[in-house]
Amino acid sequence: MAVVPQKDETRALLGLTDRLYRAQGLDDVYAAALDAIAVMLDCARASILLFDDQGAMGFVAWRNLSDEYRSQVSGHSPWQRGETQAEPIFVRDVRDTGEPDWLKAALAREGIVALGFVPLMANGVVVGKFMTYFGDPHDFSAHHRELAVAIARQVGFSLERHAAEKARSEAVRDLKESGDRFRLMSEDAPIMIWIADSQGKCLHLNRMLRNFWGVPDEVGDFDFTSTLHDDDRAAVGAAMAAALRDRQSVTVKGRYRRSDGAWRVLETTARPNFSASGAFMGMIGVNVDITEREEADAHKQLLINELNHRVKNTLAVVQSVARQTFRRDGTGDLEVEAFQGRLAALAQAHNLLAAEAWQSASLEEVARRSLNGDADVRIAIRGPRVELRPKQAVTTAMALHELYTNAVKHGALRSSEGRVELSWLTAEAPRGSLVVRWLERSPQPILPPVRRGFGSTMIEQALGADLNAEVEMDFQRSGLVCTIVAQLADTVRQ
Amino acid sequence: MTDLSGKRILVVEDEFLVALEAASMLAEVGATVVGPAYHPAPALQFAKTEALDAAVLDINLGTGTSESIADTLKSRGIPFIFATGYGQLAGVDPDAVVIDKPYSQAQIVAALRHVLA
Repeated sequence: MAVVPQKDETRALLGLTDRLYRAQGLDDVYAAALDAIAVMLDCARASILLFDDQGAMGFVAWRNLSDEYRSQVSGHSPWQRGETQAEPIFVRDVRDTGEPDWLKAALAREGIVALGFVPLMANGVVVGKFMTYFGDPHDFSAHHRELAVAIARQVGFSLERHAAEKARSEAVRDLKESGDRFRLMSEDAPIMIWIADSQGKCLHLNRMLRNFWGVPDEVGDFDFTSTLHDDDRAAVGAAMAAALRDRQSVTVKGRYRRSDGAWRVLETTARPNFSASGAFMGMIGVNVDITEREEADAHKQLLINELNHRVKNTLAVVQSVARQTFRRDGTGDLEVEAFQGRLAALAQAHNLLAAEAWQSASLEEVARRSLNGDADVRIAIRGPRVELRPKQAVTTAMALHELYTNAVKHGALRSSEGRVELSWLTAEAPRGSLVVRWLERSPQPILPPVRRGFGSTMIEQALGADLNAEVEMDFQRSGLVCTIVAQLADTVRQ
Repeated sequence: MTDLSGKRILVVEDEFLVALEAASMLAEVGATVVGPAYHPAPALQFAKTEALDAAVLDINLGTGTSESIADTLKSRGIPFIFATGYGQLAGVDPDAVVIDKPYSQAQIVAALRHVLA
């Protein structure tokens, strides 16, 4: 056996590496491997076998082996597919082994005496082997065994690379097919659907959206921003930037010019796409024409404003009637003033509710408006966000107005040094629990009231009825401590 | 604070009882009420021809708004306040002084003093 000089082996190994790197397909890989085996291991006969899908080892490339031999020994393997530990096997003389007779006979017919089995590993498991064959008893030197393993490693890595490449191209094809399928499905959807690349250029617009903008089937270099209202550019741009930054969907409204020239309000929901490596790939989104809905909302608000205007005008008329009546009847100014204050509290609650389309009003806002500008001056307000239903808001406004005017007339707020703390807290259990406390702190002693009027009725009974509340009025020397324990149940949103 | 005593104040308000109330509130503090005008045409006539120190304008006059009256007063340099039932949603000039209906005597007096100061 000729000993191949070290330098030529290195060159051959580099040559193998180079050919494997340039291989266009598996046939190139096999040819390069067989050439390297022939030169470096100095053998005329060699073969490469891989496991097929069923786990059977079969020939994929060979040199100088008969068809008959290959068909007889095909499927024979010392390893199972997927094994992680596989060592090369070198047989000096097969006639000295305990291999089955049929195999010995086949080898004898082919003139093979010595064999080398070298496992091919890819991704850490056995995927096949290469074989070397000799016609005489052959001692595989330690050096040749190392070379065989080196070749196998290179070939294994190349097989791994080609498998990955094949998987990738299949994935790309699948992606393209799913993209095509998506376009097909979206085409006739009753909603406007679009796909844009990372530069914001439209890649795909479904039929409904193409019709909206009046663009041909081939979108070309159509720029949707040319249809966006100038006043909405900043908001739409900011929303899209936020979607990119936060990597999540965003919904934004904007006015766009339809192909017939009309401005329409489109609500866009868009989602940014990112590649596995995190690069921004573009956006996919849907547009819904909400022009009619917007107009209906605006019309509803207009009606509510109109209603509010009429209610308030009516209250002004009531106030006038009362003043004209009481004046001429000789009722005192104080009573007329009290009446007027109550009407104003009612009117304020209506303003607040009109601004929120009669949905709800926050307790804090109700309180501030009921305290006649004394909030944050002599009255400290503290409490979490609580939303009141319209009826609750009106009653609370009236009750707080009574607490306030009572404090000004008879309680802690009679003096400029007097203070009130208005605070509330909510509790989870029972659900909707709200505890409101009105705590007066008077520098001078306060006497409890001798009679109970409209104010007490408002506070104790109206709150009891409309907020499902227990009200405790505790007249202390430092002023009134009023505790309201309400059960708003499901009527409160927080 | 400017005293309203002797000031000539135009009241424009389409609701009779509300106008009556405004007029009596102003008369009680010594002002001379011009009007009240219940419709845009006579209101505009007053705004153009009367000697006035200030005006109280209801925004919605039923048969129209008081916008042209406000413009006339502005061109004559006569200060005015709006009275409205629209709350904060009135949609008028943000610099305008607006009082919300129903208003108290203290509120209308304070607003007029503010624009006259």
